[in-house]
Amino acid sequence: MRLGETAVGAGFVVAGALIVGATLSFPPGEPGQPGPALFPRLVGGLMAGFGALLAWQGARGRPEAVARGAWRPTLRSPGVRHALAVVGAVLLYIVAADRLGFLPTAALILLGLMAQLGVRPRVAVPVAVGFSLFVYALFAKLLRVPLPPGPLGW
Amino acid sequence: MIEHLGAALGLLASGEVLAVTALASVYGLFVGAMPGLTATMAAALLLPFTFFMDPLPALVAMVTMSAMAIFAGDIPAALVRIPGTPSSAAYTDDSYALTRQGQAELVLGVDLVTSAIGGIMGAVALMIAAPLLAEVALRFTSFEYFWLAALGLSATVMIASANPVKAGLALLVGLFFSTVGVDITLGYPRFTFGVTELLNGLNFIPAMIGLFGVSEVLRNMASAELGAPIAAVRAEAIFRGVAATLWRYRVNMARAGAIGTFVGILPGAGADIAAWIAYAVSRRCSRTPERYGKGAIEPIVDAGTANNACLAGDWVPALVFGIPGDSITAIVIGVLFMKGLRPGPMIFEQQPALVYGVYLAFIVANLLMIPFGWLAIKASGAMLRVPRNVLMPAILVFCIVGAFAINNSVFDVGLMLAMGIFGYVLEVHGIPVAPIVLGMVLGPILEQNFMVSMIKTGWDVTQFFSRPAAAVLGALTVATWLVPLYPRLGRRRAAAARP
Repeated sequence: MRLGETAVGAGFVVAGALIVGATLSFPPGEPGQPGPALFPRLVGGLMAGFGALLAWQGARGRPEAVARGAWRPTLRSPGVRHALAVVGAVLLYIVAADRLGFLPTAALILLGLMAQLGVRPRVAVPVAVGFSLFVYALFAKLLRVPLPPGPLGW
Repeated sequence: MIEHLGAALGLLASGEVLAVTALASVYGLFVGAMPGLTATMAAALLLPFTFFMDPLPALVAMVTMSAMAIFAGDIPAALVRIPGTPSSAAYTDDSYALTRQGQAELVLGVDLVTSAIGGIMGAVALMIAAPLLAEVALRFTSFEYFWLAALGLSATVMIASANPVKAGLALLVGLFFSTVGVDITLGYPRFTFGVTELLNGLNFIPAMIGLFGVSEVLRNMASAELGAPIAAVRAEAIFRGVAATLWRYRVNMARAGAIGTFVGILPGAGADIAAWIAYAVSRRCSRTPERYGKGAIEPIVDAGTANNACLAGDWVPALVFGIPGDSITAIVIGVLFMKGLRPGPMIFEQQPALVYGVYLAFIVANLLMIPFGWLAIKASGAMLRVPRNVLMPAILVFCIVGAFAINNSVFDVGLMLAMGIFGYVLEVHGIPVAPIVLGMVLGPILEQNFMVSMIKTGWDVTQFFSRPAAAVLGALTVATWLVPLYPRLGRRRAAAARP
């Protein structure tokens, strides 16, 4: 879903305008002096300006600098599904870590992602279990971070 | 000076620091050698660990990791024609062409030794330049610091990027992020939308892990597998012929070391830019420019020296002014603030052992690079065969735990995810992510020094040009904005932009 420069530029114009709009409700500084609003207002204004420049570049058909990484703009390509799996994995941690505990959640995330990427279970299961234990030992034991315990205490 | 060096040496020789050095070396070599994983990402993933360390080991870890990663980026460039980090991109074609001619050993030997020598040249320059500049910086006031931050931002946009408009947008995004939270003049909460977690600003570590870690996982998972065959290399033979080659190109090395250090000191421009500029200068000065890109060893000497020399150069503005030299030192400044340390000229007086520790860490890291790098080359076949579809999920779990560990808060994990998606979308559209971190670090410096200056002088803007040092820095900033008007520099930038 790669958008053209014109659309991206227009997006930044809108974002800049929203930032400036939000600063209008900021309180003024000392009498006659701009306070908290000055800097964000400047940033928002410049963002809208640069966005307009980018949109103009796009409209003028200036050859684009090549984006890093190969991107195929079909929604059904495995790339998009993989990316959605990453997002889902992080969301799973946010929702489930407290209930399941760190170790099961991490192992689930690893297993799910590796399955999505076509890793054979023979490799995926030991890696998921081993790496979760490694991270648990590193953070919970060595660095003493209280990772979510879950019903079983780990 | 001697007593500070002694004290620093004592600190470095502690068991904790030695262990950190060894682990950071292995980590840097691995991440640097994996195509698609950058040194900046390595720094972002190191952040949660530095959070739990003392300041010195934290800085040593950053120094060692980055030196090793920039060298290790040369390994896949020579063996699979994919640079491990962007800093090796300039001479990837030459490296791989030589490998195809059966000279992989010579290329990797030259890569390794020039990296170490370049790194030491940069370290020596850092040791000389930083204290001298710190003397000057002691007399700086809020006006000069305002201009320094402005100069850093301008250099990032105008010199260090292929498309100034896109880099500018990324920088503005970073500056906007830096305004989130309670403002310094009235204590008014800006852009917090009633969320308590945002009152102190966007949490730096989850934001960095998202922008540089999660976004790269997304990019790697969305793109094709690394299918290229890996060339074999006999590690025993890598030092054969290196000394003769380097002696032949000793002038190149000295020149490249100077270029790399200078680009490093320039705020905002990092090791990748240093390599491209050294490559371009090398071609211009060479007797055989027609062989460049087709398997010449000469540009490998130049650019391989310059990118490692740049790393220490990047620390000069970071330590002396608190202005990052590149995205890695921007992260380092974040680490210093986290530890309650304020980079600036005073740090040389208040924390001499820390500053000397950084100097020595650079020397030690670059000396250790020879044995550790040799081992990495020996293990390169196995390392490059680590399957990506196993590695990426593992990195993601690391990102999640790292973001969570700082405050034990799921909010930070959400912030990391949002930043990761945002960074990924920007990169897909050719907007670089690195300027965002520079904006986030420089934003508060810019705003605070502007506000302090204005309140001090009762809103007399002319004061920004009336002090001589401020006027010079102001003029430099304005000159940076005129860079596109110099066609020669513009061409060089176009060459530097060719990935």
